[in-house]
Amino acid sequence: MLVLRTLALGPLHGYGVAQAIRRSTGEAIQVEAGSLYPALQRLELQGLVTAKWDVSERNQRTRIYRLTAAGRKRLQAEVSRWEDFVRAVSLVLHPKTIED
Amino acid sequence: MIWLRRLLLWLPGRRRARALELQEELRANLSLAIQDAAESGLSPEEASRQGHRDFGSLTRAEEESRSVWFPGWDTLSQDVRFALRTLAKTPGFTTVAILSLALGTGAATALFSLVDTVVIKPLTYREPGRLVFVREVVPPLAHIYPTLPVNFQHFKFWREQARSFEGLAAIENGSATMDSGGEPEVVGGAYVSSNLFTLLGVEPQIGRTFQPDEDQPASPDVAVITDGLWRRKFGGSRDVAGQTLRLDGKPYVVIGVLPLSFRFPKKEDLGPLAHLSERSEFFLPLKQANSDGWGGDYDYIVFGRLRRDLTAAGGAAELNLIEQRIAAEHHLNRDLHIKMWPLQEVMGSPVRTSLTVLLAAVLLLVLIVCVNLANLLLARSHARAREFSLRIALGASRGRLLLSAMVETLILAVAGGVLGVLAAQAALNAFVHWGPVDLPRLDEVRVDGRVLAFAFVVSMLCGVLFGLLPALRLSRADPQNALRAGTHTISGSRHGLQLREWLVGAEVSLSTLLLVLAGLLLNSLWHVLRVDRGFAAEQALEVRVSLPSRYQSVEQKAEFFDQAAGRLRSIPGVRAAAASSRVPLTGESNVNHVILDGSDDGALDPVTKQLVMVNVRFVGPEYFSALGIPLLRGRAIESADRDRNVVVVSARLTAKLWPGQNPLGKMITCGSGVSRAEVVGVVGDVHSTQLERDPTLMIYAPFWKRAFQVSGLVVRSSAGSGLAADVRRAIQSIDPGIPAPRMRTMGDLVSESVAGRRFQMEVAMAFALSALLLAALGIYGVVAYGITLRRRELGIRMALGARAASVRRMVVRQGLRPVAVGLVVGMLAAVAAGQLIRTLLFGVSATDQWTFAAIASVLGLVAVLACLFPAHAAARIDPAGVLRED
Repeated sequence: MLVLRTLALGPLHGYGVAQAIRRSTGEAIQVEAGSLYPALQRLELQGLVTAKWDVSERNQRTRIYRLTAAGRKRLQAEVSRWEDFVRAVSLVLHPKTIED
Repeated sequence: MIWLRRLLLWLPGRRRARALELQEELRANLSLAIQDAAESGLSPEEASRQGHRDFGSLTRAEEESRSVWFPGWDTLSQDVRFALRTLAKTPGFTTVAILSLALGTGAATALFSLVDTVVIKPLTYREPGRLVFVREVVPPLAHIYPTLPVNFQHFKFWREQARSFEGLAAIENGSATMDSGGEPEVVGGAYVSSNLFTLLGVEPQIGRTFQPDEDQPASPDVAVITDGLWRRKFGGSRDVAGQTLRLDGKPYVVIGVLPLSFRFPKKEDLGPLAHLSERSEFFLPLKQANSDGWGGDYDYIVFGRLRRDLTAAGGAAELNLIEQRIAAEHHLNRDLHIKMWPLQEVMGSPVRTSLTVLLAAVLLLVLIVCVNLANLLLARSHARAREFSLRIALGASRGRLLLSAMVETLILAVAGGVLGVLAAQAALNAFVHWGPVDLPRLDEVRVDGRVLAFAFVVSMLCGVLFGLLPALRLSRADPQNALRAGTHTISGSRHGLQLREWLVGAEVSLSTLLLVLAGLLLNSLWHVLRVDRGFAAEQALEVRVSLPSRYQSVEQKAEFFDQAAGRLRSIPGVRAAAASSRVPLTGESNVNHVILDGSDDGALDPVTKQLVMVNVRFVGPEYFSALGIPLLRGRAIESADRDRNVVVVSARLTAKLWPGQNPLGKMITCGSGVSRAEVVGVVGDVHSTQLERDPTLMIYAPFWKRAFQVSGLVVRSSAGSGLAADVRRAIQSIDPGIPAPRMRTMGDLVSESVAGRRFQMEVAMAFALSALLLAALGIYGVVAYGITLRRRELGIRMALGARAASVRRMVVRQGLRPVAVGLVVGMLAAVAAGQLIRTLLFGVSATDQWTFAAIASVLGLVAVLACLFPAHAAARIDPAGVLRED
């Protein structure tokens, strides 16, 4: 979901995705290459992202990943599922706050 | 979608390309990370270190990504590569394993395709399940012929009366000389009811088959021919319909060609006294019967198609009722009934027993192969126990280990299976060429999809069967124990050795079983060949001649055979030549009861009180000397007997008809051709059917009393290879219009008559010897393994003063223990199995003590030899060396 969300902001290469996630979570989540690239491969196989070789902003040839329509739809589904989940969990944690 | 994309990655080159791409991408991104680090003001080395740290493990990223594309692939390919490496490191084991598997699957596959074609596969007829084959039971003859072909009048009456059948059709043999241009040729054919082909459900590939009224006497002469004759005679021309086929000088209009797949039953399938050519290639409408009597002439082969709503039992019951009416209305003075079989069962029945025996033998062999391989693998599993223990200790799951242990055996199974199919193909080709000719539909045997599927299943089953046991043991290895004990695991492997001893015992008992059965068959063949045939096969030749139809009268034919015998006699080296309607070992014919003077009824056997049935042979003066049949009393037939009515009889016949009396001068009548003839001589008995059966009772009458269109001559000659050409020239010098005669030496006839039996024995022997070889390997393996386990113990024993000889004795004794048990079990099983093949035996009982004793000693000897090699090695153990190893 994080990868999809990051790519929803625009096409990026693998390292960019990692950096973006790190930055946007305030260094809280560091994505290792060992998890990131398999995840990207899986998304590509599922047709949620496409990739093609291009030149990055620093003149480095690399594979740029881009979200597909299916990927966008999946992101929405995932996000709303996650929000349902968070709401449910916070209902358990703070029964009052939500009722108010 | 995912699987499709995954599949695309399997395209040639795609996988490698994608992997390279991934590597490049990772490297590019890594350098981005390093650049980032460098920009934050670090020195190049530190930037690189920082970049690497931020990025994470490159290798892991690569591996994990790959496993997204091919889940489980890396470990599997690792296993396969590892297995291949281990197999290559032990070429001896691998060769033995693959070859024995190939032997097992090959034998099983070859046999399966035989059984599949001959027994299982349905006939090429429409709805063959409703087709039946009918024969009559005539009680007075039932003691010789339990069933007979059908009387034509009975058949016609059935056809009028029976309601249970969509149709009934009769068939009569009808070979003819085909003389439409070129060398005249004898072609097998049949006269058939006009509804035969519609009844069988056979559609012609060209033209049409017979119309209902085409078997009426007045309808024109038409013929339907087989694909083979069409190609041979008409060059496969499409406009064959309307062309003329000349048979015995008479023109027939070809109206249709049967499809290539058409099969006509063989004579052997249709029971005794059924006459049919070896191969029927033309079919003519059966217009009239050769007799209109209701009492004899049981000559016709009858097929029927049951109505869809009726069972075979219902059809048979109705025909039996009709038979009773026939017996009553025509005062036949006897019971009459019929016997009916599904046609599918009939075509191929004579070989069912031997194929079943073979199939059982093959299954035993496959079992032995599996047991043997399980045994060999167990020995290897000992060697690999440490590796597996280590993997378990490192956390590998047992299922995973089981899989990697199975990978190796499955590789072996596949290799063995592939080789086995090739071997099966070769074996089948050899079988079709050299096998006994009496296997029906043999020419249809193919290695096809079904057969391949069978081979695949067999080899996979083998792989699982022999691989699972060792694999299970391996994956259950106790890591602590194995790792601690190092190479000297004693506790666990004692158990392993016991298991292997059990397996050797099983192997030995299976081999014993096969060996005993093969031994019994061998013994039977030997007895059959030692049977006193009653004639001298050496240097005797049978010449069969088909006379064209212009030879009509008995006198014309007799004249021809007279001349022929004369010309043959003048060939240098020929010592005797004589006409003969039929030679020994070619079956019964002209069978009739005999009538003696002073009685109107057939003579009865003094002991069984049943009709004495006799074969009549029409022969020339030198017949007995040509075949070496001894003259016991009186004289042979002579040329001077032309105006006299004389016969010669066989010794057994005189004993039945005139026990204790002088047969010479007695008068005897038997069928057409022998009427109140005087007995002038007695000759020895000969076997006219099979050597296994009692000699037939015989009357020999002069050939000028009754000569046949297709008849023979026998020639005794010391001439060599040129004889056949000389004989042919001699025959055609009398009349060039006579087709080339067919020649067979009597020696060939003898070996042909035992060909089936010999073949059965040879195959059983081949199986048994392979089993013996495998068992020897198994024994050797287990003993040698036992010694490696006990090296230390043996070394200590020897250090303490045990002598080489006693060590050797001990090893052999312990090696033979499972063999002895297996031998006893195998013998007991063989006693039981012997009962099953009793019908195949001749001259030996199923529990023949000599066979059993011989097999026991052969097996014992082989087992001792198999033990001696490792025992020798054991005796050469250097005690000092062994003790130093620790």
